[in-house]
Amino acid sequence: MPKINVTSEYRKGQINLGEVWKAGYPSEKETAYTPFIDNGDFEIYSRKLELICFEARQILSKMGTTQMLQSGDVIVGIYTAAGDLSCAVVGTHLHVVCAQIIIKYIISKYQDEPSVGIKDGDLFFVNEALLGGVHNPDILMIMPIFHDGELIAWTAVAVHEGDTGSIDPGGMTPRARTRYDEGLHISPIKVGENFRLKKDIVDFLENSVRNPRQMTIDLKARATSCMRVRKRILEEVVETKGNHFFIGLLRKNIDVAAEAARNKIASLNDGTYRTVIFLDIGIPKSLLKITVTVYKKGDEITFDFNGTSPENREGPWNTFAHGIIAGSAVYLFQYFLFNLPNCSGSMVPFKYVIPEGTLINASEDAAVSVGIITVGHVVFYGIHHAMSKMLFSSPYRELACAGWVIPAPPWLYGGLDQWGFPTAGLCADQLNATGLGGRPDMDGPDAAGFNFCPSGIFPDAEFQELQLPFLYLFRNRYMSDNHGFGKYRGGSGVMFAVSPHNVDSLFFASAQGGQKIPCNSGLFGGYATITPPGIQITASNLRTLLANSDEGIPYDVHELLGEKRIEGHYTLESLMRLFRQINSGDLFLMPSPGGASYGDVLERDPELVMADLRKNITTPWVAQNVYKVVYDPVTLRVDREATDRARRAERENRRKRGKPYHEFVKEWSQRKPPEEILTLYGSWPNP
Amino acid sequence: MKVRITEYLDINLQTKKWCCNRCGYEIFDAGENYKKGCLIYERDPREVHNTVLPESEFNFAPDPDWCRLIEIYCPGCGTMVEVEYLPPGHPLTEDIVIDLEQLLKKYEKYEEYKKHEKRGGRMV
Repeated sequence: MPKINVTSEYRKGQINLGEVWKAGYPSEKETAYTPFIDNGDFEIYSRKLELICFEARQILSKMGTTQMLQSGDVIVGIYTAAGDLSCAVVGTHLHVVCAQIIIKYIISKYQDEPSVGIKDGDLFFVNEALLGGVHNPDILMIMPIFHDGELIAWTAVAVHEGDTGSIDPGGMTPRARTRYDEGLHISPIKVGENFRLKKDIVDFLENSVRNPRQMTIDLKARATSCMRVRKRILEEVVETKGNHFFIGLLRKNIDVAAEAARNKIASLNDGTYRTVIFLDIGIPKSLLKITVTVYKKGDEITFDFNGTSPENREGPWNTFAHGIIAGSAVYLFQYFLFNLPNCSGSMVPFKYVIPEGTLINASEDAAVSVGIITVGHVVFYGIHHAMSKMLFSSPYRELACAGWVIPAPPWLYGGLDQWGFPTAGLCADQLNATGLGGRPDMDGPDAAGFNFCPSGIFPDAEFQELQLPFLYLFRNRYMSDNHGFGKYRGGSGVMFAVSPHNVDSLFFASAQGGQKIPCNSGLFGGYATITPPGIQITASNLRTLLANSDEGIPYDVHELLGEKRIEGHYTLESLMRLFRQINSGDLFLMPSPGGASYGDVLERDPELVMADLRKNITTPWVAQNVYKVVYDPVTLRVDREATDRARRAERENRRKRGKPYHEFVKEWSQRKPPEEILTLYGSWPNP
Repeated sequence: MKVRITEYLDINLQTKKWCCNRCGYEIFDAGENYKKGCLIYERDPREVHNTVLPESEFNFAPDPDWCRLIEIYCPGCGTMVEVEYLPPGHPLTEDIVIDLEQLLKKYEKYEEYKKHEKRGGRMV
């Protein structure tokens, strides 16, 4: 394992600065104490640490006000004295990995700096993307844990905050061109000392954002969670078992996970597995390409991202390399390493090749606020997809599934709320209700969650309407055909329509690509999910319809668009939507798409297709034209023999219409997309 | 002996060929891209992904000028073993390259284990 080398280069946040995101060498104390942790104590106390994190996560979610926080899109982690992740409850897997970078930065910069130092009761605040914040709405609070004067651990909590004082509300503006458009960039500062928040720093933060009350309440929620973790560790572990036991326990968690991860990898077939994904970005209209190649040899895996489009300055679609590495944990901790602790040991066998100057290893002043949710999202899908192709032929076949849906689009709002106070933020609805991919043995779960945070909840509609100046016209019906079709279909998602309520107007935006080409092809012959557009209806008669309790009010997007029951000006466009004013009674629609699918559509059990028809998850057009099921449209009874005949005929048609590979490639390779959609792509076909 | 590599593809360790898991058709050399032995069909993605508002530029289905649906079939039985969504002319992806030597060694050991197991012994 390479020795951690924290240098001034660290500031750039580039991965050539040392592998600070994975476990470093054990300290002398760790080496001395770890062998004395017996297996019984290890089981009991490592579980206790998880439960401590779990309680702190609940405290954080209940105390805070940001939508992402209330929905559980948070992390709480416990780190060794050197900053290596030992235990975490997620939440959002990205941040547990990234917090290591920040802790190691604090140690290297401030431990011996007389004007700062690291003391018991300190609370550090940070949102600098270059130092591990991924993008600046993600705000972390980090606290050292001392006992008997010795620094024995750290705890970190993180959650996406509603505003950063960027050029548009919400901190994730598609208008950003450099980091200087994105608002606050706070390198680690002490927002608290002696177990109290510092009034001058809190005032500074309040003064820097559009939603000052939310910033302060959420700061207090973070501080409370950190202090709760500290208190319980000291009272329930350290004071009874001693510093030496706790230090050894944290390290043993890491060492056990590293060994287990290597053993799991060694059981897989050696080889190369690759995913190529395209993302269309609406501003300007251009294709981007992301290539994920997974090399597996022995007990190590290398993720290589050569073949990815170059960094661009047309928008905030870039990310930093450490965000991509941390993002690989989104997949690894959820799937392949699901039964190991969420800790830095689990990541020891993984290497990363992330070319400089690409979208995913951007330069220091690049805009990145939307990158992790657009390009990063695609990268994480690519890792998932390639790993699934490896895992099918392994003892972990049940994990070989199509990935979470892309795109899950962020929906941003800003303005004055129903009480006249400024408000801004990112809603969790559309993120936390996407469908999961189809599996080798079952359909993907419907409205399953968000790949960054599978445990996040779809927030309660009434609670949302109580807090925010919104009225949901519809939100609780699955949108038919918005998932991938296959032997096992992707989980269905929803689509919802919202209107400003109890205010004259609000400002809305969304930030995602994927309207021209699907980002998530299915697995092993399954089809991709839909390419959902952004929709809005202005100058509408909705308020009149509501006042009259009109029976024609639509309750899903098919009723809305197919029958145009609401009068008004309909706009369908890219989901990369700049902020615009939406008046009360007008509608802004957001998709929460379904997952991609698994396997050949002709192998889907016809009775499952009928079940989907009954639930309106699939339309008759798809049942007949894609699944080739023959059935009685009134009773939905399947004609088995006719279905078998139709499917045999389709297989025969495939054999007739398909071309031999070389014949196909000869013609296909002569073609090329229009130049105007390749402006950000890089050189064709391999950037 | 055949080793199952994907839902629809096996590798025959004796012949060192990719085979269809459904019909047994020998597709191509296992050391090469299996797609070279498959049938390939390009289609307008809207034939599968229906549009909600066909007249709109953005209509829930991929744009055929940006994206083509590439279906990859077993020549023996017509099973769709893989799909790709590619911009026109973009090379097909070589998505799985198995280290055949390691695979053969791995299953040689497995075969030894099975023989030994039949004799009632235990491998250490």
